[in-house]
Amino acid sequence: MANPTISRPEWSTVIDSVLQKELEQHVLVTSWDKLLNMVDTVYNWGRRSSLWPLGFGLACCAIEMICTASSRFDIARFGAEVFRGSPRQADLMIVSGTVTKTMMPMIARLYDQMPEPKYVISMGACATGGGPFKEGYNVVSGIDKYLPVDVYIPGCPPTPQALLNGLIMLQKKIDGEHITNAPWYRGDVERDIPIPVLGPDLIDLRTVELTAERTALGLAEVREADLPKPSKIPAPQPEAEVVDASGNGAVGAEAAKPPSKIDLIRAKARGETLPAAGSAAPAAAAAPAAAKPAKKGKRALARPSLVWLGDEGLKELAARLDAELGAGTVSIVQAGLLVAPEKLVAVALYLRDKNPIKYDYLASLQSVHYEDCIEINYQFDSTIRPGSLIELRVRTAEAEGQGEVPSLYQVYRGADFQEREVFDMMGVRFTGHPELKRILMWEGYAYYPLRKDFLEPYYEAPAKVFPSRVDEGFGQHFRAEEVNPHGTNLKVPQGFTDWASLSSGSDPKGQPLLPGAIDVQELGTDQFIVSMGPQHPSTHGVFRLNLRVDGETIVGLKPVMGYMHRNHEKIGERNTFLMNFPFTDRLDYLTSMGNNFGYALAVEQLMGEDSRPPERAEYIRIIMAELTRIASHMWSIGFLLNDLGAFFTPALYAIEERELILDLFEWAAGSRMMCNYFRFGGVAFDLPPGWIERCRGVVNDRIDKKIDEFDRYLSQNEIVLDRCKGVGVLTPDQAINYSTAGPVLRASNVAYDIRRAAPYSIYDRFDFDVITGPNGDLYDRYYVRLLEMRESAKILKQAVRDIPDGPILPGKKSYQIKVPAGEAYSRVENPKGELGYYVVADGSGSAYRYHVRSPSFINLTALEPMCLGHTIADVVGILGSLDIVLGEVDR
Amino acid sequence: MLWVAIGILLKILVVVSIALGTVAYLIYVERKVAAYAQDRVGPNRAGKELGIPFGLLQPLADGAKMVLKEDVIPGYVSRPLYMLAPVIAIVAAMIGFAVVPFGPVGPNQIMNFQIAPNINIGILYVFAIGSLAVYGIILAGWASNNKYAFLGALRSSAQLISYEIPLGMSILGMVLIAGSLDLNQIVNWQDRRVWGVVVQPIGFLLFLVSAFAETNRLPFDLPESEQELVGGYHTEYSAMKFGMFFLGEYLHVITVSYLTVLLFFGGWSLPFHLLNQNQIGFLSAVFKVMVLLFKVALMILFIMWVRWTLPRFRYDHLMDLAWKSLIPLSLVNLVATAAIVQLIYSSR
Amino acid sequence: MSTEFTPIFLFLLVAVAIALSMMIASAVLGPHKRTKVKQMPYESGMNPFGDARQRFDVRYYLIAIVFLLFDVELLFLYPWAVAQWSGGVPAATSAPAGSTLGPVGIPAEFRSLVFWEIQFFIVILAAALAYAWKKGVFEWR
Repeated sequence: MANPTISRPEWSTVIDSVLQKELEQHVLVTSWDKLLNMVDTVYNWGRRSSLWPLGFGLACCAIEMICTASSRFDIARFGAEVFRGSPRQADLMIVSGTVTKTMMPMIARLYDQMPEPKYVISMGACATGGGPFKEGYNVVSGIDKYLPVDVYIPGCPPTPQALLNGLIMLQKKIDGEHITNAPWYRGDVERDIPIPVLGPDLIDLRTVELTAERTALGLAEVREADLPKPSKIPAPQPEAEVVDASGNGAVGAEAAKPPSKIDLIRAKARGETLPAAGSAAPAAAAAPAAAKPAKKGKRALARPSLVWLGDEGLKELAARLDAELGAGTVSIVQAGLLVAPEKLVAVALYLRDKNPIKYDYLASLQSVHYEDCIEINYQFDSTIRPGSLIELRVRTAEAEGQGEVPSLYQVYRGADFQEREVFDMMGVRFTGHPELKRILMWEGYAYYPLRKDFLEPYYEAPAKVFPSRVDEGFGQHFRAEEVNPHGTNLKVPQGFTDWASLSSGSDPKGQPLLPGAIDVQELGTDQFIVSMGPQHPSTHGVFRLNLRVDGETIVGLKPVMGYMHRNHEKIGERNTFLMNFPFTDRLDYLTSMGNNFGYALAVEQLMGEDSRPPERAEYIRIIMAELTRIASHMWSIGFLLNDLGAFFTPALYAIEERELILDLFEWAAGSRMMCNYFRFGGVAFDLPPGWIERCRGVVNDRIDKKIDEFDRYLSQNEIVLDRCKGVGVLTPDQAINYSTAGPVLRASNVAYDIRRAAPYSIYDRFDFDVITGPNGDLYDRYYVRLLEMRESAKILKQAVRDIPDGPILPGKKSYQIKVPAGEAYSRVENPKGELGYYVVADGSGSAYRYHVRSPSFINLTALEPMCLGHTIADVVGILGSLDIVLGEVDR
Repeated sequence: MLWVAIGILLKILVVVSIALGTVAYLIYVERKVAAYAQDRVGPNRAGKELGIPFGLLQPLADGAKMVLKEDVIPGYVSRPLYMLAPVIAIVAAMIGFAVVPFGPVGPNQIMNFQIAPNINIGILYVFAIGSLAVYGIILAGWASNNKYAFLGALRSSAQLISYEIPLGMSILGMVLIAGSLDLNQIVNWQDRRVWGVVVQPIGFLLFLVSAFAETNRLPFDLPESEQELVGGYHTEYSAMKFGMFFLGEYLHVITVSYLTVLLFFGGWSLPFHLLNQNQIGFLSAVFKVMVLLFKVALMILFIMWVRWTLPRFRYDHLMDLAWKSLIPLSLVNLVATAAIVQLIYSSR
Repeated sequence: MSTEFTPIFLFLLVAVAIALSMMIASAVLGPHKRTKVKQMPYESGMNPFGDARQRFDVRYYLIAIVFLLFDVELLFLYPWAVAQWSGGVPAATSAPAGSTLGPVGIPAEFRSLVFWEIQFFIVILAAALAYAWKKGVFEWR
């Protein structure tokens, strides 16, 4: 049975063929083939009708995968709703989303741990080939580089119907299989996937020798030498105007080199934009064009954000700081305070404790790599007097690994993860940070990816559209794989030689973050270290917690993230401003409209009055943002209950309502989830006829009832109260100090809502309340969300009542957007909290620096103090109440 | 003697095959109940090729797949225990049926609807066997050498033993009132007097709550609690071994439902003596079996309904509930019952 | 060997046979591809840290000990509950035919004495519970 062959049994070869036919027709019940066919039928039918998927979701596609289980689509019809947490019991792996290098070893291991027969569905563009994130340095360009894929589903993300179609395709494929040649029964077929290793990059052990050889030759470095590099601009100075960057040394050196073939193609592809490149493309013409010169053009009004302290206030503050902490402590640079690094902690302490406006809230922290320095800048706001935002700048050495800045960890705990992120991305060390480890990439990764001089493995040009992608006929179009000497998304520095140390058993991502032992027991019992995630039913995606448990009690906890790090910011620096909209959709993939909103505001802040949206567009934006909030909170409440153990029932009821909202989005924007609907100065399309009526119907007739229903069944449920009251308490001081935002902050009784604190768009016209909770526990976070939905419904009712007619864009639709040089930080109150976009523009077509202040990411900082002393079950609930979305956490 | 043995064997085979078939379909019913609870349709494709509606062949497909799936035995397990655990789980769940009457039992009846009709310690036997199931779970968790499984098994064993006490105490009242440990006697008593739920309402609630815990069903499904421990004690089990845990769990649900009905809802009896123990003959036997089955089915549906409605307890709440509420309450219930019975019976 | 238990032993044999046949069928019919990674313990896709078999929380042991106490006491209560009224109450008189154990209850004159004894027994049991409670056996934090 173990290895049957197709050949007939012995007797069939000796008897006469005519006789055999007669025998088969009249005497024998069946032939061997027919028998096998019957076996095949039963065998295949069993597997096709009972495909139990492995319960793990990677990114946006996972949301659609979950929706497939909801009442509208119901994957249960195919008997495939039994999502198993353990790979041992699963038949089907649905790779739903972007496969990152950090996650790849886990996926390979999970696949290997699944019992035969097993199938793989590659869901969505990312899993299939890298999708929109293909150029990312941490993205695997297609799961099929490692796993054998049975069915590919196109789409970004594929709709639930598409997933069902993929499932049906897989069933058809299974129908065609034969037990006689099934690979899992054959001894000669290798089905094990070698686990790739997180070394200096993701190293595939099957090709490690080739990789080592090519690395030693320095092919990547040779290739990069010929490519146009992104130019660096100098940091803004107190008085001097921006220096022209055309005298960049790197560009000059490059111009001397003979053009490579790729350069020629690229120059040709650029023909229409370049006056000089139409002919034989001389190198001298190609090189300056490829670099982005910072044109001396319009500069945006210098202001850190739309609502801020103001020039006068800033001058006053600077004077006060100088008076208090010694002259020369601060100087005003482009509406921000440039602080001497050694005075940073003192300034922060003064601002937090002594300043008349107490700056107790570190809104955001990010870094910019300038020509002459790396600047870390901090946005501070005050919860006592909201809307008085200021920006602090600290500058440090530009050279790789040289930068050093004092840590604000002790002053603002919210700086913890953000400083680690800056360390990870720019290589700036923060002295005094207790655990300065890489946060998104892994320990041992060879580069600091957000530095301007780091070029991704698939790098081609400083800005999109990459010339090699411009199709000029057969043979002219390059696949990204072809530009890389390794033929895949891989880059290892030439100096790396330690190949022997790579082993698939190592865990460079989580190992340094094992929570330390805390002795809480007089009796010496062993404490477990358990890793929860990255594939885990309740981590809401690929998130991992290293737990140390004593019995059921958590005595140590370290979150490990980065498994969904899709290099959003690096890609955002290559995208043109407009082209970046669809990428913002994929940040927090439950709230694409809200993400669009924030990004539009950031660029509009730079563009100034020219891009002021017309009245109707403002209303449409508000309607979309509030619908998004309801959809997101519905999801969040549903899945919080799921985390508390109510098996999917509340979640699926919540999804029902969300589907109605998604229908509205699809009608207006053309896509359910990834709406890409906002434009600078307005929205992409006007609302289709009938939309407002339907929206009115949903808002006036359905949402309130649904919220009431949730309130009635959940809010007073004994078990819910038992599980939620007093669990995961965050005091108001903690909540502010940890820079939490959104419902998490407000549940801790801090009435800080960006819509009120720093009003944007036309929120000041609407009547709504800022909801706060009294205790800051799990229950309050649940209940604040519930009440916020009511407030959103209130805003929506006003908005659909008052929406005027008129244009939806200030000018005519344009694809070339002129963004003046400058710096902007926009803030919107997204369902998850304060979503901020920090954009530095250099006057070219794409952002010089693009950073997302992600609420999910920063809210996670507070996870550890909330969980310690609680039980494993509470951790799941607390995590659920933070309502994280991994696309936004890891970006 | 031999014929008697063959007769018993036949009875056993009928019971076992019906039980296993029922269990397979219970899983299907559970999925359908879940679907309707969640406003969905549930499995409806399997069997369409043969013209069989409502996905009725789904259990067969699941079974076929499970048997033909690779049976992974991870490298670091202790193999004998790892293999033993699912056997214990399913055997313990199955042999509980030996003393459960599926219909009328007695010297005058046309046949005894019970595998071992002469055991007069029926309930004690069921509980003894039922507590064996904890071995299946703890061995599975220990043998798997997996942290989730281990934590799940620990939780589970603590949970099961904690709830065994209120479970045992909750029926003492009924035993005292009926004066027997034989399930038939208890049913007969209820038939003569009144349903157990009327004389022992607190006992019934205690029993119900403990029974939910003993069967590891929501809101007490902590050993499995997928949201926390992936799969709990059976995390490392695949193919049919996993299926056996699954079957075991549902067999427990059936046993518990039978016990609930037999102890507190009068077994096969109907109100107003529509069916009583003095009726003999084929027709009444059939009716009694049907009535009992119907009540059991309702009970099972109730258990499922609860599963798809409630969230899960947290572990410490669960233990608090057992030790700080149920056990004191069951002691009080026992004392009160004994006192009342003392008053009533001795005054006769 | 009394005959009442014969069916149970037969049933046990059948049940074990069924369980074994399930496992054997699965082992024979299923494919076998043992690979190194498949043999590893599963831990959310990670390499596991350390051994899963460790000394675990002492509270589980405490629960086990308290359970033993209560379960044994419980066993004393069962015979009492059966015997207390089965001597004279009609309930137990119609024991199934062939039963070797006849209904032997507590004689009527001892009933109230036994009743009070049992009450005393339960009080001691309750005191034990209260003691364990006070000692914090049931505290899980």
